[in-house]
Amino acid sequence: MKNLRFHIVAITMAVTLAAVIMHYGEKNKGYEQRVFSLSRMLMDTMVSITVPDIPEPEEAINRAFAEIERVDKLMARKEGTPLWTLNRNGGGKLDPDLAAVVVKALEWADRSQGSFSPATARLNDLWGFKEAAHAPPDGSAISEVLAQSDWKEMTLEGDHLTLGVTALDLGGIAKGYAVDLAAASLVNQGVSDFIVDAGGDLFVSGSKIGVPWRVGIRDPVDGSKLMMIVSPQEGALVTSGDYERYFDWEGVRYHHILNPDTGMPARGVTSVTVWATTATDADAAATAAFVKGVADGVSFLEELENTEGMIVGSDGVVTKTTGFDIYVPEARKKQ
Amino acid sequence: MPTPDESRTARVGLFMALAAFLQAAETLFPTPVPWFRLGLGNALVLAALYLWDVREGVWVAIGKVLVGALVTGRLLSPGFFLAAGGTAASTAVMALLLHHHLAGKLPLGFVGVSVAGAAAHAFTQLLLAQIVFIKTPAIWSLAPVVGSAAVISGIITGLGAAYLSKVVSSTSTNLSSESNARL
Amino acid sequence: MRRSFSPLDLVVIGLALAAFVFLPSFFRGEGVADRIRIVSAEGERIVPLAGDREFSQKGPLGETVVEVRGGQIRILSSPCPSKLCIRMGSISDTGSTIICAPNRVALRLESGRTTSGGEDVDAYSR
Repeated sequence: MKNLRFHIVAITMAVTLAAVIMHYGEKNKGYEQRVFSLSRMLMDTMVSITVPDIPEPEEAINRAFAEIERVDKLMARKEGTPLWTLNRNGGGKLDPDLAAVVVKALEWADRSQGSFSPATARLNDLWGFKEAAHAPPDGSAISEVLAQSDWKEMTLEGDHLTLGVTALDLGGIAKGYAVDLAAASLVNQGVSDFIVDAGGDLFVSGSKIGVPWRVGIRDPVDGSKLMMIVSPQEGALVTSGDYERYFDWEGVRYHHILNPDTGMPARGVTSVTVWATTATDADAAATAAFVKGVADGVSFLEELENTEGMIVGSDGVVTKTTGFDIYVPEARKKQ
Repeated sequence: MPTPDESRTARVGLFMALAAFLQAAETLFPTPVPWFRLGLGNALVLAALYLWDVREGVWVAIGKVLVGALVTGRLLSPGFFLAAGGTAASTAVMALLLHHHLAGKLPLGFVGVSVAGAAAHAFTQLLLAQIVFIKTPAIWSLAPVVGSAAVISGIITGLGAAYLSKVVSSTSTNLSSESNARL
Repeated sequence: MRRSFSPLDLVVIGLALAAFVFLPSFFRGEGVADRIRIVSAEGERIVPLAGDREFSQKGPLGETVVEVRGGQIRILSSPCPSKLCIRMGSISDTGSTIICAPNRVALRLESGRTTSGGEDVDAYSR
């Protein structure tokens, strides 16, 4: 009798415990399922779009990917793209997207007094960051190419671009533009909550079922760590770092963010994170601030409207614009 | 004059109240993590399981969790589910070690049973915390410190339960012999 | 009368302490990378991170060979000119990626429990 009673009690307890665990397990599972993410290799990087679980998310996401793919096919520095044709012909008529990006690029070159430049194509080719590690180019080669890399030689009249001796490279801005188009595509399809992530260049919109999106900003020194977790306000969050593309030669690291004035990799900064209302602007501003260095970079970002930034110097010191913590607040701790 | 049955009911009620008091009081103690409960009230659950039977132990456990949560205003809060799950697990483990027919072969003392219960209590809290709070492995990195705290509190509650059982069983012997004498 | 303390209790105490010391390694499943998202020109697929093996992923330039070993992955060989993907070495943290842009192959470690990070993060800016 005693044993039977004991078994009944034990089974009841086990069932109750199992029910509690399953109840919360089910809730937890629901939480996971509420986010849907797809990735593609586009623009030389991994592009991911994450949305809360909406009906038919694949269709909306694939349309957004198509926008990025379109930009990639227009502006990649690969044989056969309209940008490649422009560079071969020294200019020409621009299609609307290309015209829009070139206008933006020239605006940013002017605003940053050349720290951001769309005319670094020949410099980038000279350095060859997409190739195996090699000796850096010598001074005379660099000054020769620098003479052909002044963005002021570019003239845009209507939709007709004249390059002169320069060559166009939209590397510092096209990715941002593509992210903006993907974001606009999602919004036009009625998707208001999403993150578009093109290799760490983000556009963050809405929330995850009322919970702010959580974005990890990588530690620029130890890539396996996070420097902070933030919940940015709606807009773009773009990080440029010297660790993205580089080669080492005789103990010196040469990274891909070149100073358009010297033709050498910009020194003094490890990474720049910029929040802005569009990824196009954030992308260009981050590159410009990187080239300007910590002090000038922060004051440059400070002057810009609707733009905030954080610069990590080569010494590891973090400097933020005054509004950075307001637009890019640290994510709330999970309870 | 209370009958033995009535005095047992009164004692179970007293145990429930004491367990609930300990459950509420221990919120004043600092623990490694805020939601983690040491489970000092398990002393009364164990004593009840030992002195009487599983049913009484369960009653004291329910009183501990429910009344303890009512007093501290944590009824149905996440912490309440952790406490409930932890107490259910520890009660089950202690009942098993005391009352299962195999248990007779394990010459465990109060402390052994209590530590096993406290371990189940802590483990279940961690498990539920991971599920309820949707946390990451960070929870399990707390296991060593939480486990040590549980083992220490298990030893204390085991000794407490042993003392309590001795006192209560000696007074009941007195009581019953007294009442027998009067009859 | 049951003793308040028996020698066997020491065994229980020892077992309990040992269990709590070793628990983290058994239960840290959540947030820890357990699968590989492979994104390529062919689309994307997800394979488990468990099990030591090599596999290759086709890209426009040829085969990118990936080694999976002890929860880490690295690129063993790649047809790309820069070999930057090989130089990136091994990755093991949730959310970390190895990208071979020329061959259009990207690998990202993910956790089955959260979309993109053990830190419970939805995306990374880097």
